Amino acid sequence: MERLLHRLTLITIIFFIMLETSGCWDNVPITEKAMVMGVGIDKTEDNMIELTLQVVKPTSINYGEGSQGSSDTVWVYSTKGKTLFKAMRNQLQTINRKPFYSHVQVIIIGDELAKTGIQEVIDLFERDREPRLSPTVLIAKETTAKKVLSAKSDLENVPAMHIMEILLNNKNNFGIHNMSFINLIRNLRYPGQNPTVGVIEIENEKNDLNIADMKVKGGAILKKDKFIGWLDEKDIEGLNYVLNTSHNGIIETENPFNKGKFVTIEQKRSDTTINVKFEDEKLVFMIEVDAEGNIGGEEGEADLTTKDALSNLEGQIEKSIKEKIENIISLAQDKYKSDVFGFGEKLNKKYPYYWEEVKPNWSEEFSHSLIEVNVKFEIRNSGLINHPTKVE
Amino acid sequence: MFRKLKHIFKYIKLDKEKLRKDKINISENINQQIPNHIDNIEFKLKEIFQDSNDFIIRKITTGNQFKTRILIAYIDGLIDKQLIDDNILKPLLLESQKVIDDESISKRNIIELFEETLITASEIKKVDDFNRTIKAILSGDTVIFIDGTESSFVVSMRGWEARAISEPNTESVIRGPREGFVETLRTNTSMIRRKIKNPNLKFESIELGEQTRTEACICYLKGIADDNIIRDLKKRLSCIKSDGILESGYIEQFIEDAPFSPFPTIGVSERPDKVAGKILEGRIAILCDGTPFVLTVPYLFIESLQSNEDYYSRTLYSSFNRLLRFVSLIITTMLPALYVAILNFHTEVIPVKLVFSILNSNEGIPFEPVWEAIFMLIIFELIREAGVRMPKPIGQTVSIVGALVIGQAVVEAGLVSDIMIIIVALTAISGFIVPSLSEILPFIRLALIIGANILGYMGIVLIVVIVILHISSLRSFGVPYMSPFAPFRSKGMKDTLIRMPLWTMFRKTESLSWKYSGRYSINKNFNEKEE
Repeated sequence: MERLLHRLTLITIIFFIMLETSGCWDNVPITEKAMVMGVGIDKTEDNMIELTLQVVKPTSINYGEGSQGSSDTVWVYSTKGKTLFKAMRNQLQTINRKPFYSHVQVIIIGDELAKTGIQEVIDLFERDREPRLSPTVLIAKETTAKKVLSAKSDLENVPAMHIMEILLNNKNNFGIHNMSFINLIRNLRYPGQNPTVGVIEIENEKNDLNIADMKVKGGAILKKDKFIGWLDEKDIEGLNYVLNTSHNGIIETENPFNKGKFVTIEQKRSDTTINVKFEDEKLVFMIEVDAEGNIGGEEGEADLTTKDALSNLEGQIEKSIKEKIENIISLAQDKYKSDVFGFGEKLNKKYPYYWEEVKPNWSEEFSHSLIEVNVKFEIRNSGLINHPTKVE
Repeated sequence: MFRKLKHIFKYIKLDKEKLRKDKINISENINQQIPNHIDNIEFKLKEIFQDSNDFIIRKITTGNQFKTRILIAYIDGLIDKQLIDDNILKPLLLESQKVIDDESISKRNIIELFEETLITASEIKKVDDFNRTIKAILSGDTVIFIDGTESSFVVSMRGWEARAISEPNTESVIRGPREGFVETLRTNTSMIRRKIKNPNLKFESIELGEQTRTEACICYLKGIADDNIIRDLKKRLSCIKSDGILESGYIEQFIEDAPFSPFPTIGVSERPDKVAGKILEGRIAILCDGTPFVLTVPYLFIESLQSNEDYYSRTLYSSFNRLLRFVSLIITTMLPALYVAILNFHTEVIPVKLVFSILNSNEGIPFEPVWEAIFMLIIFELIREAGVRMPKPIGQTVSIVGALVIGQAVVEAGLVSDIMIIIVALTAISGFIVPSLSEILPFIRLALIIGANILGYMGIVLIVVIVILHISSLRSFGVPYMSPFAPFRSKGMKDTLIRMPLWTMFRKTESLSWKYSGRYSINKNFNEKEE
């Protein structure tokens, strides 16, 4: 009996010690959490960090009874602080619930902040245990993140989800650059690669902003963690080819039978391999693009499915893709001197000793290295028809 | 801890037994001679059965010249009167005049004469012990006393109103025999015997309960059942000291290995085919008179996920059903706890689009999820219990009211979130898929919910580890409860989560093939106490 009591007390003590030390003591019911969907970070003129949160209003989204647009479903508000963490805590001066960052969809960075470096911002989101690594990072072009996040969406309940899902369209539109948070961290850590981040810009400036007034297109080129320049849509298309993130998209090319009219080709698949080699003791990067697609539309009535027409078309497309790639290469090499393609990493993997030599001076080295581009495009089919309808 | 508690209780039990042994002078086991004179017999019987109006004595005189007085005693309602009329009274009163007219007949020969030429009943036994005749009367036999002899005949003329064999309600099957055990022991043994036509199938009788003197019977297949387990079982049965055994549940509670564990270590079934199957696997059945529920030992955890129908339907389908039961066991124990843990601790695992509807349904609910879950589970248990206890027509009303209360009113009143209703309904439905575990489910659910509320996932893991440790330490009659998982036996795995084709299992004893050894005997404790 005595031993039993002894053991019972021991078990009780162990149990309570476990409760104290488990580190899981954060029982916060979901009704006391505020789900943050979008985070915007800006630098204000007085050198403070301004944090904007887009928070879901818990009662407003009711799937059963039809949604009433996003005007009432989210709540956007901002606070300032010297550091980001302080700004986060300052939120509690306004909000009664605990902001919960695990479902953040987009992190939008104002261009003012991007110019001074995004490392501090990235650090907190990487260090804290709440946010996932999945949100997409966007830079707000010539505007503030606060403005972007305040925009409403008529299509989705949560505007941040609207933006996030636009970025997922990069599967079908190779002009969209989707840089997720985890890839951004990865790129920042590689000495041989500089990140490029997607960009959201406001097209129609007005008071009551809607996402319909905005476009996600182009990109921002970074050197280390600092913004150095904008890329337009064409550059992003070329960049996606090099990064092997180009999947599906529309290529317009001139109709070989009918000058002044166009043929649209839907690219279905694209694979890029990058090889490094030495030629005459000079570093050469070889980019090989292997893509295929269908004829999606034709202005004109000629039969494009003949062998000659096809090879003609393929040649034109290969040329246009090559031009796009060479354009972005020249931008990166000559204008910005920033290795956004990760060539340094390729070199590191193949010639690690040589890489150690050139590493401190890589951006200079990169701008002088030779890059060969080979594109192969194959047209697989012409849709359901061979001959277009002749209008007579 | 359970073992500790058990020890304490065993001490208490032993003390009581000693007291009882001193007080009660068991007279039944002493041989008592039958009085020579029939009037003495009558007096004695009337004394014993005083104030029992169902006890009947019939006195007749047989013989033509040599007259013999005969006394027939039985209990009304337990015998078939037609049989007594035809097979005892008629021959004794009518035929005896032709047979017993030789004056040279000696009294000793009268008994043989009766047994061999007069009484036409098929089952007749000569008994010299008076106490045994009384037992026989109480069991429904008819006893014939003859004047001037010290012997009596016990004639089996049993016949009473019994329920017809019908399909059991508790274990229904789609494919399989439609018969179930009944309340009469003899009918039950015959049902097993009809399935296993083998002289090695043994039925050993025991009498349990000091007042009720219930007949029970252990049934096994000699050569296949482990002798050690049989010995162990008999020993435990002989230890039962109880006033009455009214149902096999009484026996179960006296002989089970872990009386304070929520997990049953003795199996119960109402189906002869299931019991026969278990006997073939080397298990021992305990049949008890007066109940259709038959116990089987040893009982392993995996048996609660098995069903006899698994062997009747084809491999693929029954394997699917096995997996389904396994999954439903996990759902029914863990789902509410997981929900509580996710809402309170691990909100980040909810998919983004689901988070909106969860947020929406939880908004305005005044209680924390853990109270919601406990509240709903209690309501569910209330409705279940009410549905069982109520007469059938009212039972339906209860379930309608329950469904309305659960489904509508509670949500509309904003007491419980509608997702919690879905969770609890799913939990309840999954619980019905594993009915043999229904006794343990409320405890484990509750423990898991509380663990989840305190420590989140870690609490769930903690409780699950405790439960697994506990059931791994259990033994049923020397066989590890979690066998063949722990200790792992690859041969036994053929009939666990999936059911392999029957032709891969030559003999189905493999799940029990853990060799019984004294080291693992639970009865080690019994032995120590007795020495």
